[in-house]
Amino acid sequence: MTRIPVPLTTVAEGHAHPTARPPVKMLAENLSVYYNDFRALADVTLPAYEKKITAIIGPSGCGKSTLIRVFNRMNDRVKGARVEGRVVLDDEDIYADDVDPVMVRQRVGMVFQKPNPFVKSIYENVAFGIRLLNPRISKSELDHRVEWALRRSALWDEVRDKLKQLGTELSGGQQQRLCIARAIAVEPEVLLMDEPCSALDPVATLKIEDLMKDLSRDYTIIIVTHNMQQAARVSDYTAMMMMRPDRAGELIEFDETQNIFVRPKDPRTQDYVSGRFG
Amino acid sequence: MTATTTDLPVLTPLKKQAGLKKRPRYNETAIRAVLFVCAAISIFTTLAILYTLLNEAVHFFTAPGVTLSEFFFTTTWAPEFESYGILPLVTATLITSVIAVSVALPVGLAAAIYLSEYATPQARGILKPILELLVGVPTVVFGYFALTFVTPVIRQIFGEDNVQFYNMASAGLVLGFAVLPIIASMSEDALNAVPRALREASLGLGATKLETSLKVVVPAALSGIAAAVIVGVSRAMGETMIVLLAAGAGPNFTFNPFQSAETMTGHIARISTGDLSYESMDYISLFAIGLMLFLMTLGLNLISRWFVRRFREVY
Amino acid sequence: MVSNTPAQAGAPTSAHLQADRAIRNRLRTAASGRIVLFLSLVLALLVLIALILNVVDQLGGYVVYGYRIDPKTVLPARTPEEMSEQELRELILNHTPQYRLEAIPDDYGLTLDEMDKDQLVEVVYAEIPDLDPLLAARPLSDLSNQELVVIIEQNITTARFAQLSEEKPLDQRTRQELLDLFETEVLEERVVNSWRLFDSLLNGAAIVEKINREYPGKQYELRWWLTSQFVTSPQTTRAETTGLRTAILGSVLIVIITILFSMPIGIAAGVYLEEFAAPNRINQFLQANIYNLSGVPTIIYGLMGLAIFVRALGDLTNGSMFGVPNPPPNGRTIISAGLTMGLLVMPLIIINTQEAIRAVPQSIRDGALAVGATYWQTVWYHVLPMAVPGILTGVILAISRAVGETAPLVVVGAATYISVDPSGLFSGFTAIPIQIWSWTALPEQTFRNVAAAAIIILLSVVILFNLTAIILRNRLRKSL
Repeated sequence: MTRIPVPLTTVAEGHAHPTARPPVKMLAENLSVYYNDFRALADVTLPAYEKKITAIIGPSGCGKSTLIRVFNRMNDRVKGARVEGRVVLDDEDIYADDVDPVMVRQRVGMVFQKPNPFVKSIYENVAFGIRLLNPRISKSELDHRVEWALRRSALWDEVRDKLKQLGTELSGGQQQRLCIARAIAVEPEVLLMDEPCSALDPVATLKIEDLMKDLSRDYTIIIVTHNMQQAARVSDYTAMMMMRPDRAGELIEFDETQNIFVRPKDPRTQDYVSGRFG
Repeated sequence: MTATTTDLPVLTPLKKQAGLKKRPRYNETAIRAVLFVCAAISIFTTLAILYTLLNEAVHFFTAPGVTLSEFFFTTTWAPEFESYGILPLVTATLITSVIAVSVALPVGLAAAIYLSEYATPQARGILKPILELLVGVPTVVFGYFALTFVTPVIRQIFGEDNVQFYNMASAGLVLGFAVLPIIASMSEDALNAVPRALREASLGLGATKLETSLKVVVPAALSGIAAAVIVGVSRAMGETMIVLLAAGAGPNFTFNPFQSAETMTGHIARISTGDLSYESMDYISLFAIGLMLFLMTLGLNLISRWFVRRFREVY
Repeated sequence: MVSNTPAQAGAPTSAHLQADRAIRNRLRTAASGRIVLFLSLVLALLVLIALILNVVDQLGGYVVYGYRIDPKTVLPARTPEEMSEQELRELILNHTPQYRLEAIPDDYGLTLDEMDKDQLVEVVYAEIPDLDPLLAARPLSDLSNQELVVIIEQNITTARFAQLSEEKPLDQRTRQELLDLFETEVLEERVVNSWRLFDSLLNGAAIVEKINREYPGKQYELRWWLTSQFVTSPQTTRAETTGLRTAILGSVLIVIITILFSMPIGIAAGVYLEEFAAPNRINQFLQANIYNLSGVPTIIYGLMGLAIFVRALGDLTNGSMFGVPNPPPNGRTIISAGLTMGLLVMPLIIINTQEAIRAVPQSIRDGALAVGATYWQTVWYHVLPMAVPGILTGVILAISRAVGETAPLVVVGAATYISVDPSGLFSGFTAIPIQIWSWTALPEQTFRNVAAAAIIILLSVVILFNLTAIILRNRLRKSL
């Protein structure tokens, strides 16, 4: 067995053993996802602890994106998509028949792989979600909330003088932080991030990572990432996924991040985090 | 390195619905219903077309003195003498359409091959819009062109004794240019859909670009090209103004393209300009012709779409 | 080249030569094939150019004018009292029977030369049998304005006179205006021969010479048929004076109805099919139906419009149900034409809307949904605004189609001759393409000239619209 060559500076001696975990904010339980006849996810059970960052890692095609999109029902619009099992937000199954996906998404926000600001002003990008929740909001309160969201996503100082400029004219990293501002402006409880840095340069990536850690004081965050160093740097918990021979994705290991990287239980995890796979 | 955000004010939380339960959103349901109704209006259009054509056609076929066999197999159309043989109108329609397609297919396909296989993006950017402009020319203008330019030229070439003033050749020729753009653009789509790998394989074997285009790409796109040709025929059969102006104003059972003859569309247009009594055979016979035309073009369009679907399945 | 092959590499065998020739043949075929392909494309362009040049060729040229009505038959005769003594003497000498002429000196006691004017007048009345046809018409220059007005009034229809008076009361017109009116309205000045534009420009001198030889004394000019007067005048029965105003107004009204009717419904249908329709049988059927509708011959739409809007709904479409005074006898009205055209262009708008919506990136929808927007809010606030240019392209193409489409209007019952402006949605109509068709179908060359002028107007509008749409679409493709 090779020792893991990952810079695990955050691993303190005391954390090596399971500690008392915070309450579970979201939970996917025995979750399977089908696209028509194709089973994309098989029997995944994954908790997301309150105000912690949970990273989902694994080789391409193992269903990471499918899994994260299940947490706020973004797969609903995909033709032929079907879900079995439960996904619980606090006490409610978000896939129950009488649940409104819009209500779910008001509480579970999402940031995507490629920055996708609306082709509108920076201000409007952030204000859109707030107005949806409160159509009669006063101008001054809206201004206040937009500024708050932009400050919270560490973008304010860069855009305060050009709020009327198109969101799409910002740099990639700024666009992604704008998308984060847009997401937190509606005060979600959970923030999903689907490879948020994959389209960004290292400096922009670092900024987003800092921001994520900062945001985890207030939000439960689930992040999909290709980048194991990123998972190791920012996440509290890590889920390792693999593709089964029938091409369905499965979760092979879930643990506190340091355990996944320092002493994985599954040899496949070991191979993956040490860079011998995918 | 990020500015600390701990000093941010605490916001009063935005009001959200408690729980995740569905609440009815009446206005959105209503909007959706309205949108559906708008989409369904197209069904009403189809129904209206079918109803009017069938309704009057039934009147026509049940009228005394009209039989199906006479309608389909006799060669005189003269409602004033109670002769109802649609053949002369059909042959004229077919002759003009065949002339049209035999002009439009080689030219259109060649243009499509050039655009998809040879033209640089810049050249394409200029040439394609010109082709598209040709689509926009109203057919009445093509009709004017046929009557005042092409007809005199044809009569000069073949002799005024051989070519009547109104003739199917001139109408068919110009009709060909009217349907050329659609054949070209559909063929080009089909050629573009052929995978690069096929071309590269052929070029890699030492074939010239022309050989690759004609012997590899065109055969591979054949069903797409067939679809284009069939749509071309269907458009040519349904076109009115060119044949109305240039082909002739009276049914004539002939296969000589230099003679005048009236197509189905031309006949409908000419008769309906007169003062029509809604009860006359003149009026209701138009709908029988219309039904015939509708079925012919619909059949062709369906065949064409079948070809397109088959083509899409291959690639 | 084979001859350049270095000798030490071995003399080329005949097999080499043959292969070499074969390859060169193939390359030559390839090169000429390329040219043939390119020429085919150029041919399409040439057709467009020939089409336009042919129209321009008939847009102007030398024309010779003549009068359809002999001025003598309408101008008032001069009474003998208005003639000079000399004229009176000639009249008498020429038209008095010989035996009476000889008797004049005896009967009157004076020879003709000795008589004064009054006496001559007396002789004229007394001696010339059947005097009236002999009295020459008064030259135009003699007539006062009031007399001209009277002559004009007497020789045209009362309706036309009323129409002219409405444009500008005749007694307020200048002498030149009255003379022009007299020529065009009363004498029906018309073109008796004409030459095409390019011929006129290239062989102008020869044509003028020919005119002087064959039409001595006749008026001629290098005439343009596309004039501001042509655009603004109402339709008349004569090519020389007719105008396109009636048809332009008709076309504009029809297009307005077409778009008001088809645009909201078509866009809504496109949005439904692209964004809301679940992939079930009903919606697949709707989609297939729209494709089929877009291929239905336009004249079939005309038949449908004739049976439904004109006939079945005639009381609605001629306005009698809305209490319109003096409704037309049937539903062959602007509203019927507009509705028919609306149904015709609707598939075009639907399909273009769908394409435009499909081109909006999925990530935009994701972004809006993820902040808690409902699907409709997503479409309304984000998808539709981004699809607007594409949808607009479809609408512009639809307008252009509606402007140029002729056959359904022919069937729905455009009037080919109508000289009064449409008074509203419930009046009979003509349209620009209808005029082009009916003028082209007439045998006189002058009507072809007028049709050419109308074609230029129609083509400019249509090409302008299409170019806008093409440019808009290309720019769109680049930006997405």
